[in-house]
Amino acid sequence: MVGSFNPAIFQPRWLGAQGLIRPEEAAAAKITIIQAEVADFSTEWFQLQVLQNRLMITTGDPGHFAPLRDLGAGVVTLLPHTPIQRLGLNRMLHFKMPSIEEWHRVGDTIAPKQPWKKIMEGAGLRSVLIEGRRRNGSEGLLHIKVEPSAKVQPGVYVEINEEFRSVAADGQTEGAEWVRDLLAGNWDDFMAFAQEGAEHVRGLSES
Amino acid sequence: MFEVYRRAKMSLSSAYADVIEREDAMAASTYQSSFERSTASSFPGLKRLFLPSLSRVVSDWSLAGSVTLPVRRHRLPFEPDEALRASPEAQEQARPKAFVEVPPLRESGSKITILQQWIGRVARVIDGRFLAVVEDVTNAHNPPEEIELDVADISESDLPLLAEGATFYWSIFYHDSPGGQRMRNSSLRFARQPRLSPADVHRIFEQADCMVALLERD
Repeated sequence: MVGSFNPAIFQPRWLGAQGLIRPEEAAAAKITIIQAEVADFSTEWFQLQVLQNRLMITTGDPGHFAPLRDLGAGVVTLLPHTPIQRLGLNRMLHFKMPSIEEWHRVGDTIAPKQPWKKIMEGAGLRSVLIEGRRRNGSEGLLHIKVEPSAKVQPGVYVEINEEFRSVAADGQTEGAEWVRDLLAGNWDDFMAFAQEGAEHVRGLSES
Repeated sequence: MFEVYRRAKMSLSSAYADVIEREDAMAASTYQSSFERSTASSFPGLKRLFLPSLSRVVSDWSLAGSVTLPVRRHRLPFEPDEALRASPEAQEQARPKAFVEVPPLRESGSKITILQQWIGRVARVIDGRFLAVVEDVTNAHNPPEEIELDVADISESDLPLLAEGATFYWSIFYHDSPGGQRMRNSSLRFARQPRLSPADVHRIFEQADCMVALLERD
C-alpha cells in the first residue's frame, strides 16, 4: 500500500491486542526495527514492513494467502482515515523447467535473440516487464515480470503485480476503506489469475 | 456582422484546406496566428468560435513532429505519442513507481507445498467436535462438503473464535525442513477480524433493531 503511515504504531503487540494475529505470534515475532520512520518484523507466516509512505505485508506460505488478505483488510479497518493512494497485489512464482532447452525456449519466445545477434554474443533474457490490463475488466494496472529464477535451476521466475488506485480526485485523500472493499472484491480473482498467468509463461516453452 | 463572420469562415476553411493538402504543420500554425490577429480585431467573437477547433487541429499536426508528413495525419484520431509515453522517464512521471518492488522474503530455509486447501464455515459445535461446511480451494469444481472435526485440532488461541458461522482456513501440506526432512502437516486457522469497539457493537445492535422493526411492521 502506498500512502501516509505512522510506522511506530505497527508493532506485533498492537496487532495481537487488536485480535488480528494470535497473542503467541505477537509475542514470538522477530522484530528487526521499530522506529518513527520504519517498522519491520516477521512472524512464523508473514513479514510486515512499514515506511512513512509504504506498507508491505508478505508471506512465503501459500497456506496463509487468505489470512494475509484478512490481515491487510484488518489493518485498514482499524485505520480508516489513513490516506492510501495505491494498493498493489503481488504474487511471485518460481518454476523449475524440465530441461535447459525448455528454459531457453521461454526466454526466446518472450524476447527473440535474432535481432541482437548482429551486435552482441550470448544475448539472453535477464528481465522483462510487461504492462497491461486483465481481460476481465479489472480496473487494476497489470505488470508481469519474467526473469531467470535465482531459486531453482534451470527455472523461471514470474512476478505478477496488479496496481489499484484510489478513485479520489487528484490532490484529495480518500482514506483507507476503499482498500478493504477492493481486497474483498479482487483478491481471489487476482490470485487465480496470477497462478494462471504464471503457468502461461511457463507453458511458452511448448510453443 | 454576419457577413464578416461568413467571410472569415470561408477564409479559414480555404486556408485550412490548403494546409491539409500540403500537409504542412508549420503552415497550420502560421494560419492560426494570422487568423487570430485578423479576427480578434475585426470581430472578437470569432476568435472564441473558431480557435478551439483550429487549435486542436494545429496541436495534432504539431504532435506529428514533422513538417512534411507521409500520411494524412489529420484524418486519424488524436493519439498521444505512444513511444514517448512508454519511455521510463515518461512512465515515472505518469505513474511514479508503477511497479512496486517487493523486498525479498527473509527465507527460513523451509518450503511449504500445499496438497489440499479448504475454506470452512462452522455449522454446529457439539461436545468436543464441530460440524463445518468446507469448500475446496485447490479444486473449485468440487462441491461443498460437510465434515466433522475435533475441537482438539484447533490452536488454543483460536478457541475463542470457535462459534457458529466462524470462517476457518484448513490446509494439508508438505513441509520440507532446511535439513531436508519432509513432513506432512495440517494447519487450521480461524479468520480474524479487528475487535469491535463497544460503540461499533452498539451501532450494529441499533441497526439490527431497526431492521427487525421494519420487518415486523404490517
